[in-house]
Amino acid sequence: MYTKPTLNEHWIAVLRIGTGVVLLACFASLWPEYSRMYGIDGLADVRLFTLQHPPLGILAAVPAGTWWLLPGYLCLSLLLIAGLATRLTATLLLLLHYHLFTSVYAPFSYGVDYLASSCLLYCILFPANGYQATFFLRILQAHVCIIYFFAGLGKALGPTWHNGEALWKAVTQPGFESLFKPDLLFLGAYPSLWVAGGWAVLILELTYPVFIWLPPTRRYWLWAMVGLHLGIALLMGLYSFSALMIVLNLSAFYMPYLTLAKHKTGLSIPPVPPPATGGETPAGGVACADTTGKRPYV
Amino acid sequence: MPVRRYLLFIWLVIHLGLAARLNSASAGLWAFQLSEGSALTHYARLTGLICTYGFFSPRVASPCFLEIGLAAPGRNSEVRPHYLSFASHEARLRFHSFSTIFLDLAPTARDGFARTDTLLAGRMAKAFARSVAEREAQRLGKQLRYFRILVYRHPQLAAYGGETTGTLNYLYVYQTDP
Repeated sequence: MYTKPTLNEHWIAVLRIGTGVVLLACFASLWPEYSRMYGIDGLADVRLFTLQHPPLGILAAVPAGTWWLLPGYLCLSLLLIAGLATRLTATLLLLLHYHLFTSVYAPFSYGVDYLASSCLLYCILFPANGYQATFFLRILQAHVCIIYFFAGLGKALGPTWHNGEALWKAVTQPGFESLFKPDLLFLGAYPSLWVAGGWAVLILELTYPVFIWLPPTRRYWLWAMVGLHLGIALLMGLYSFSALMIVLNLSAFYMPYLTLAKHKTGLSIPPVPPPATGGETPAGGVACADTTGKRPYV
Repeated sequence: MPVRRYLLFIWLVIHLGLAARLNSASAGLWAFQLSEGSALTHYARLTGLICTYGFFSPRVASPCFLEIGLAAPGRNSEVRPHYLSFASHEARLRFHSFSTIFLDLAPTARDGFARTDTLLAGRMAKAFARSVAEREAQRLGKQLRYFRILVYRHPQLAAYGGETTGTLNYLYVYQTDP
């Protein structure tokens, strides 16, 4: 008799560790210029920032440039990765992250800061012990689907993704320096390539909430999205943002469907035919048949 | 503890609802403006919902540049243009994102850049530019002579054959007394 597979609960750990690693890497990269940008005598007068975004409550008493905030941020990121007192660590890190990046200094922030805040909130709310993990997983999955669906819808409503202009601009416009940045201006002679690329991105995002749920298509949409974010990282230099989106995708739609046996032993287990009735197939992996009469992974 | 569980459930449903609402507004589907300073705005900012996902990872696709004219101390020293540079990739990206505020100085929508709104936003953009220019000059031990805000317009794909280079337009020029 077929038993509905239990979802692999390691997705919570992937979300927590992935978020911590991205925040740590992002902050380590920013460290040499941190005081120049966010210090008291930083790039612009802090009073101008405060006029735009007044600080919240008690946080106003601690300027963002205060020296101990930086090592504090790094320590909390490390604690989050280690999984020590996760809820307390994630709460403190969320408040600190808000204070340093998305509150007063919001004009200096970009997508990765806000996505990281969402991930930290989920690290606080989601239990580490797997209690009701499926419910919390659905919340995360729904959030990721909302993100992609409306991003795709926004692209579908405007003309620039239909005619390739937006993709052309994103990839070739100066301002996005990265380690790997080929000069693609010559491809301007082939507009159909950009049109096709624009439509591909649009369709991928718009249909994500449908095809990521269907077991036969999940793996294709998942890896296509991971590929898209790798492309954004390489061509636009948005490393942290892309890494965090990949973490979100893997946490929401790869790890939960990865069988525990495969997770532990890699690909050494012999492939077995999937169950006759449709179950949830691991993205990019092979479904594990229930040959023992027990649940495949608990 | 069922009460705690229900409260958490309600919270998460409202959280997702707000995420959907803000994302739909950013897709241009159903306008929704959070007023600055409200509890909902602070919540959305704290939890990261206020900035929705876009291909450009919102705001980093700024076409604006700040050019600062600096000279060594002294009346007749040569003025050289200077652009802010950063050793850190993250810092460069964040400054690039920050420079989006200069779009508030775009005079009309004819250049294809969405003009945001008020006179205050324009004044804030000028104040930010001046603050950055003065502090950069101070950091380098130079005199600030001028600063200019430029907006770059990338050649359109449709017209790429005839227009292979982008164009630069001034949004604002500020000259200090020599």
